[in-house]
Amino acid sequence: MYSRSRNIVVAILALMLVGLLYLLIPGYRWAVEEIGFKNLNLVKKIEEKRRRDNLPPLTVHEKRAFKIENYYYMQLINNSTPQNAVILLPPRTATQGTRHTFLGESEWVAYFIYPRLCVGEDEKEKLPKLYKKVTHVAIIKGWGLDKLKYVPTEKEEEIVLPINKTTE
Amino acid sequence: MSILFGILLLFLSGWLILKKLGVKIQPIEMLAYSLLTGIGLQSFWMLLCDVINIQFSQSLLSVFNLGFIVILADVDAVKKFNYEQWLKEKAAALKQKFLQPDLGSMLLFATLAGLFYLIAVKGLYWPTSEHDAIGTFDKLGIWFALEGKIHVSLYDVGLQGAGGIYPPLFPSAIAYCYLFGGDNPKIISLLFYVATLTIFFFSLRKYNTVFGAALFTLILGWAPEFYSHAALLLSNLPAAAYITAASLSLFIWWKEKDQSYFTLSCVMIALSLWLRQDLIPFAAAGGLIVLWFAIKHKGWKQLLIYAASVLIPFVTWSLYVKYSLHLSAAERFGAGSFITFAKLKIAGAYLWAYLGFGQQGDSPPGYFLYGVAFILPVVLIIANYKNITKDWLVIPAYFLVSLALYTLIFLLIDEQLQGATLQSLMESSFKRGLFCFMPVLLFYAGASSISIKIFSLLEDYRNNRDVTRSDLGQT
Repeated sequence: MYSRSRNIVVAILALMLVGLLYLLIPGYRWAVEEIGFKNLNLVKKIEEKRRRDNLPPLTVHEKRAFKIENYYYMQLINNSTPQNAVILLPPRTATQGTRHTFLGESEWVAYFIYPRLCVGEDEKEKLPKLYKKVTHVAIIKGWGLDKLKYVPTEKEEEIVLPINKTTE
Repeated sequence: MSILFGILLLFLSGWLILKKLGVKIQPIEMLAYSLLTGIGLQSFWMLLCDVINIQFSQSLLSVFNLGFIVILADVDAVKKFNYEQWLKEKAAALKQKFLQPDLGSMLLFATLAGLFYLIAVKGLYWPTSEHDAIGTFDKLGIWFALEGKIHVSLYDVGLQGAGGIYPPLFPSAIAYCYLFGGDNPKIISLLFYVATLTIFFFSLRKYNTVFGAALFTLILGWAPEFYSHAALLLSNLPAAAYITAASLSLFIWWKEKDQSYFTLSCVMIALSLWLRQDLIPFAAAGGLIVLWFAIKHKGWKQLLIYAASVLIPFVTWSLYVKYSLHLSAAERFGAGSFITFAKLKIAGAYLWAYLGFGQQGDSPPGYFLYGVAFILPVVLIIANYKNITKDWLVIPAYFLVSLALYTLIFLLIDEQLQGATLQSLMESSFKRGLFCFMPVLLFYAGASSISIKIFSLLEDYRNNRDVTRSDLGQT
């Protein structure tokens, strides 16, 4: 026979169990607060500001820039090179401790620069064919200037330049 | 809109395959298995196109799927189906549930729904940003969709990424999403998450009350590390989905001798190896169970079917890797290395840390990565010591064999070639691979005598009556 009061008792028990998990186990709190609500509030804040300023929805590029610290550099590569370019990426020693942690990993950078190709300075033995085809150099904090076969006029810390002066 | 059509095709094609294989289970449970099967079927279509050198596209996949549906659909059964009667029955059942709501279970389901909403917002708002997804899975998915083949140009220049040697199921699912107009492939991760929980709930519901099954499902779905993966695009959550489906259906078949579940287990283990070949420990552990059955009941036919389900995807992909992609697994993983005492000590320490109270990790939340998903079953198993030899003996055997083989893979990894120490591998790949073990252990605990007794008493109290065994297994 159905009993509403007993069902309420069981529901309270369920609530207590959920509450205990939430309060006693830090991982559950992290899942709800950090993964869930922190993100929800951030998304709400972004969307409220966008609507207030009468802006269009965020593009995938804008969202990526939000999540990936050096995404602007990926766009710099795309804007500075032709679609058939092969870009030489800096070694790990040059990217360590900077915002460009994964810039030396061709497998990671390739995702953002389609249909361009890339190869890391650290990968010259692993990918020798691609290394020989390099047309542009990704320069950060002075690394890569010596790879150019000419003296560049641009002196920016972060720039993408053709390896030969004649390369467009 | 087009992505919804794509998802509908996944369900329909998967459903019809399973129906043709003679699977007869509850409709919602069937939907979850259909989704996993439908996703697997798409990678098969893509491989077929690749082999016969035709570029796949949204229209070609639609034609394949619709043609397949038309061929397999039992039009007579659809025509004869009494929709009016079915609707009447469903409405009456719903009315009954509405008038006499199970408030405790509803609260647990509401918590799960809330958690799902939060993770769906995170997953669907932000584009892919996790390292391995960018380096391999999402990248391959995009290239598959752009070039309309599996052997994409990335393989020719060596930019396929570390997971490029894995079978194509996951990148194919991502490509399918892009081809059908989805702008965020993480919808696939959410579907895998829901499928895992649905299969887990309905499997456990056969042996425990709705409240009990819902509570264990919540413990699985809320396990912090596992939950966070529902908003990522990595292959560990899909692996957990296929292994949950393959293992739980195998256990149910063992217990009930219901052929539907054996068929499901074979399909799911085949698809799991079509997702990641390093899931072979689960296939081996399952194979031992089927071998045990074959010896006990002279079920050699089952053993042959299971062996074929394991070998066909494994060998097919190995041949494709060798003769089409021209890659070598040894190049990527090495020929293995020696197991030393120091390595055993590291692996043992991590196992203890992950499965016990000292759960540690180098990334958030850093501790209690799996919540109580491992701890609670251990407590229940100890409390169930009186029935330990009577209850599901097959599950601890499966768990221990698969865990031992899974750990062995890590012990044999060539650290130099991987460019990573065993310690860092234990803190990344190994940690995420443990997702596959959570549902197995939670199911064991949830379907144990002590657990059934506890939740039956609660159900008895809730309904103000005695609970009989016949109350269990009805949703």
